[in-house]
Amino acid sequence: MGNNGLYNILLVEDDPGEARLALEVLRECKNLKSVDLATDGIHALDYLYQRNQFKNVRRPDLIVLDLNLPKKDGRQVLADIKKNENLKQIPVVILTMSNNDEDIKTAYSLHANCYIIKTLDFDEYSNLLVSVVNFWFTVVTLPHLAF
Amino acid sequence: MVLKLPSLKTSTVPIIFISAFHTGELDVSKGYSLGAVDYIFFPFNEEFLLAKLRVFLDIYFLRKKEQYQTEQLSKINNDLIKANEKLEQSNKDLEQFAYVASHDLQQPLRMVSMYTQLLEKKYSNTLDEQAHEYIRNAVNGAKKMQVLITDLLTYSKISAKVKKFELAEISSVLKQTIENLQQMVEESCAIVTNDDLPAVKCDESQIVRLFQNLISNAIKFRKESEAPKIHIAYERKDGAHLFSVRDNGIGISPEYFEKIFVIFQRLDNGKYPGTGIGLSICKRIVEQHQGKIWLESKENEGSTFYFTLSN
Repeated sequence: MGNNGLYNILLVEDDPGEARLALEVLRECKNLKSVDLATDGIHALDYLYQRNQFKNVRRPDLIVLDLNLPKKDGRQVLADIKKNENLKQIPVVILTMSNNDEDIKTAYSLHANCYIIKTLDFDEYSNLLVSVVNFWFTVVTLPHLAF
Repeated sequence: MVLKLPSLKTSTVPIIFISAFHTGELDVSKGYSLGAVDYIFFPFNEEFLLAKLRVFLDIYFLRKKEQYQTEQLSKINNDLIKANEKLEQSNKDLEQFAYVASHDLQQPLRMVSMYTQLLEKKYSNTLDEQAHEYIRNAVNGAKKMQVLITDLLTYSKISAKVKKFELAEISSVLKQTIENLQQMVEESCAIVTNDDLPAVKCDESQIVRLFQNLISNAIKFRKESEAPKIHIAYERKDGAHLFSVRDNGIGISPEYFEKIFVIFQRLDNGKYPGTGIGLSICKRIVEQHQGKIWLESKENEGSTFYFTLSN
């Protein structure tokens, strides 16, 4: 948990349009302090392991992860996170265009906390994302952990 | 006796040994074991030798001919196998292409749709009614394209993934289908009846889709004046399972019987909803089950779609 009961999100999204849109929508979420953006899998892991230019970043309380990413795929990022004793306690929300059965199965096998599919209707998409993030930030109790 | 082992080329040439000296049983059997077709002693009867030669040569040429035909056949067979492999590969490539293209098309389309909607939301106070209309048209276009892409994806998936065929009760397949179409059936007051249906080795989910497409078409293209009546009939014919879906709808003119199975072909200029992919999906599913699909229909007198599933 961040200051004043507010939470941080790490958004992993390669497409600038998608990222901008998600930021726009996430503003509506409750108890949200900040959203940081990683634009590929390598960046995401550097951020989470506080490597390179990410030495002083906060630990996110929630990770919103796209599946298809350049350099390091979202599935690999997910597998890496869930293998790490510390990082695996951060809930990971998969946010993707893919409704492919294999992708869904793979994500849950790799211990994704939930899988949501981007829709083509703005309100639908916005409701979906906001309600999922609100669930993590207002309904459930998250672990107190520092990096 | 000077003898070499026969080379491959001459191995079929008939050889007759003629000898005045080596006439013992051992010599004879050695001759035969070396591949001779006959062994005669000197002196011999000329007519007798000629008759033998004729017989052996006849057999020799017959064998040659057989060998040639076998070679030709196996060559044709090999060519066919190669052509088939090429076809299969190009089919796979095409399906892969359609799959990737559809996936990659969805992303930019989503951006178009989402940002026009965001524009409308954020600037709703400053936009006039015409601007709102333009935005609605853009969003509708994007949504229509999304449906097309999803359908294309479905179409390419059907043959990309061949599941193992398992025995399925077609009556429960039909039950599932009607459940999926429940809303449509209720709203149109459709009556669906069926013959006794068999169990068939098939990809069950595909057959559900097949019935679903055919029955929903029967409901969609109904007459305005009467509720749709749909009957699913079954018979065994020529060792295959023959099914039919008969309706009392608006019917189709014979000139379109081929065209309706072609992907994205529509006959109605947008009067009925849909992308024009349903029947081409049906065709693909039936072909995956080594069957055929066709129809009989008259305008205003309903249609009957027939399909076979191999045993």
